[in-house]
Amino acid sequence: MKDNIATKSLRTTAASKILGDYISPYDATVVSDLLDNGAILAGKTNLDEFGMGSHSRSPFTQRVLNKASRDGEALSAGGSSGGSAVAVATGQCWAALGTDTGGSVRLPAAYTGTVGFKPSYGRLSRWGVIAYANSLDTVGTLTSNVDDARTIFCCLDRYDSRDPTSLPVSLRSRIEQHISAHDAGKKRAKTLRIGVPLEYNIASLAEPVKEAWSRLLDSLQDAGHTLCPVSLPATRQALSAYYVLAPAEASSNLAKYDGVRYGYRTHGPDASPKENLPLFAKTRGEAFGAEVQRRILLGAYTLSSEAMDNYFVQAQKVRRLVQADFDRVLALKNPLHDPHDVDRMPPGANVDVLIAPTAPTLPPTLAEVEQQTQIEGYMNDVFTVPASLAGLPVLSVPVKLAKGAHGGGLDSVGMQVIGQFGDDKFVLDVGDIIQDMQETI
Amino acid sequence: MFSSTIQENAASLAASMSTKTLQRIQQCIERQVQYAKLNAFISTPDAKQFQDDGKQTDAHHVGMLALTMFVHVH
Repeated sequence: MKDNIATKSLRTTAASKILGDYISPYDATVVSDLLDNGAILAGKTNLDEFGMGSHSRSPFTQRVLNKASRDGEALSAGGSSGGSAVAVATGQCWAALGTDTGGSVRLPAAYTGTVGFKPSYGRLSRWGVIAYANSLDTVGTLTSNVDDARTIFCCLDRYDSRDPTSLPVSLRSRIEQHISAHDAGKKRAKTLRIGVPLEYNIASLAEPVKEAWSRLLDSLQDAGHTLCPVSLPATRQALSAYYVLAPAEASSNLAKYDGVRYGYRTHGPDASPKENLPLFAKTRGEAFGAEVQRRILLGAYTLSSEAMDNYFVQAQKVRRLVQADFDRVLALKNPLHDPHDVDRMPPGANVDVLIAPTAPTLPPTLAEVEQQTQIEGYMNDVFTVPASLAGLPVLSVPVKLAKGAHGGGLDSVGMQVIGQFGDDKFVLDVGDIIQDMQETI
Repeated sequence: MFSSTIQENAASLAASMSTKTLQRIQQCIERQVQYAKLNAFISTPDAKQFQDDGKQTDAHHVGMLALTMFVHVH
């Protein structure tokens, strides 16, 4: 269980000093649901502080190491659910839960050769999950195969009245009817129409990743599926929009850690005129790491009256464009939209799913990560963020690397299967197809 | 007659499930020790707690299974 998901039996720290000794008085809904279904908690897994990062290194916990290495240097496990991914990859537990805000389940899955599943936004309860960015946060699974991901997803896929963003029962049944009607109309044949997003073929896409993507697509085509190049033009702006929206929400969510109500509190009197900072500022300065402070400041700035129109409002517009891009190319219409509006949409590529790499490069070593600038670090999320902004279900499945493509123990690269909102089970079915093809790819 | 069969079946299931669960838990504990340097976990239950949780979960499920079988038979 990722350590930003509340458990009564073990501390819940979110890898932050500010929650260093925090024990939740209740279990998160996803925890209690798993326990009710016979799960046994093997521990709380490591992460980036509050889930903010891509390499699972918090200043307050030991950094997570990938089992695989290159030239004796440990590789990054990805983040922020890197601890969950490594725990599954090394058999320290059967399966793990993570949280995915902009790719935090899929990136570690890609870097560790595990299966990472981010369901549609609102399908799994977030009650008891420490919030980073409410409009994006999703509980996800990390498993060694697609079948295990499906088993856990089915255990947790229900309405939770305690989570205001949980999809209500009426909407869930409407989604099921919508998908059944789509299938009954034989719009989805046994052979798939697979969308290949052109904007994901970027100059910085590493050659082994590109080769594995191409090989997978060739195998799918050989198996009788149809490949359709599609354009998602707003993808280019998605990462920038994400790094405006997520910090804005984080700055609000993390305001409650003030040293007064719970968690870490600085020493000394509450407010001393001789010291320059009041209690909450000292507490937050001491207990938040540099990345969390950076995102709080960035978020507070983009929400300020002078910057809101230029940053936050523009980013929300980009988010709508990203959603519209996906809606235009996917055959299943978005069940959240008004059916009359959907009928008026121009015809698109009508693909069943999109398949693209999870990360543009193979995992860097931890030494390389240390030398990266902040912006280079954020670039890891370039392929995962668009589906997060649109709230779509995505599965990252490992695909074998070509022989000799990479030193060390790493032998796979992650490929994402992206489906329409609510079409989670179909995404998992496509994951099965890819997994079953592993021997022939 | 039915209830004694159910009890026997439940007891036999309890034994097999318990063994399998405890074997899995033991394997997890061994792997956690073997890969401790990878820092995947921030906190873990102690081994005894881990095994007790397994036994408790098994007992709960065997009870539920026996109840289901009982309802099915009657």
